[in-house]
Amino acid sequence: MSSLDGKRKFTVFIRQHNLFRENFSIGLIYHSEEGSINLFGCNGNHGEIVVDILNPVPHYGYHTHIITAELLDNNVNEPRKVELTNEYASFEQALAYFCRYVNIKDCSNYFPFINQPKLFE
Amino acid sequence: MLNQEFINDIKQRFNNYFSLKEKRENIFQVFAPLYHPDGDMMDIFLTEAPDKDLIRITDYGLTLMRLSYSFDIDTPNKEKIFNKILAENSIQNENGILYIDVKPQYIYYGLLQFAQAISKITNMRLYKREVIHSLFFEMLDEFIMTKLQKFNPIKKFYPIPDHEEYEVDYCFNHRRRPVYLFGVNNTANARLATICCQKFIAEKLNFTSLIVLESLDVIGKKDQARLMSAADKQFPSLDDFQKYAEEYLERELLQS
Repeated sequence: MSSLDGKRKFTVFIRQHNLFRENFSIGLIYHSEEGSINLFGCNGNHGEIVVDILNPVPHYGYHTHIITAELLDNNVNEPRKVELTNEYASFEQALAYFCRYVNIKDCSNYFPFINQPKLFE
Repeated sequence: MLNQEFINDIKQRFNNYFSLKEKRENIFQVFAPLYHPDGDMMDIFLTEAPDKDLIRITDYGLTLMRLSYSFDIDTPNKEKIFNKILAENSIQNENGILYIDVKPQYIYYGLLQFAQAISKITNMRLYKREVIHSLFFEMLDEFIMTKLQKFNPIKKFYPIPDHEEYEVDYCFNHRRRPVYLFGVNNTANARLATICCQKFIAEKLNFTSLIVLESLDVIGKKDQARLMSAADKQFPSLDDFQKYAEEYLERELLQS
């Protein structure tokens, strides 16, 4: 994938466990000259997560990971900012949310269900 | 599968930060303070082993799933490292599902060992080409400064006085016909090396230019062609340079 001006390159990974369907991860990786950075990810409800490993307050549920300028400034390339989300509750909804959030153009050409309206909105 | 006595024992050893949750029938997810760097808890499960006296500590393939976000074990060398980590930690691999079978009284030790293996495997991301790539100049420097000392290497050499924009990474034999070495691991320094060589030729300097490429893939064909046309000698990889540098420099110095 590339930015609209074609200058920046990205890859998206999509993984879902075949037994534990709630264990999934969809993420965006940016490839710069200095290396690649995992920018953003939508994860399933796979277990426990903590925002600060040294001050752990565990959370459970569907959540997103995002990198921040502060993390990068501190040489942390892991998207350690974790937020619980109500934006999705399944893999399909997570994929739709991910495509909207990351602003992927023409994603409905590849994932036709993405533009399907929600029944209860 | 596990009696309460063993669970209480593990709990005590983890200072009470331990619990099990039945994820699927007879598959118990471990909740313990064992985290990945992004804050996700390590995916570890307990289930019955085929040998009924043992408990299986397993990841159900989630370690390799996580690793695959940004790294593939797709070369014999990577596979060798992966298998070495497994062997060193007594971990078994069944089609990507990692496990270790332990007696119930040793679950605590098994969990720590298993978590350590997961951590090492997910850290295989650090062997990515781009990480190694950033070590190219360090490796080149270490080799030159230890193995090629007898050729009196000078680091950061400026052949044209008052023109620091034309920098040579290393200069050998600077008193007679010098060898100017440029390390190249991306397009930008390939172009810079080409410009420097052309400038030195234009200035009619007496020198031999030597390029050490990290690998042939790091620059495009046009950059390769320009560099080949401007430079006298190229080594296609650091390995190649390490193998033949001494012999090459000895021949060069004899001629100068």
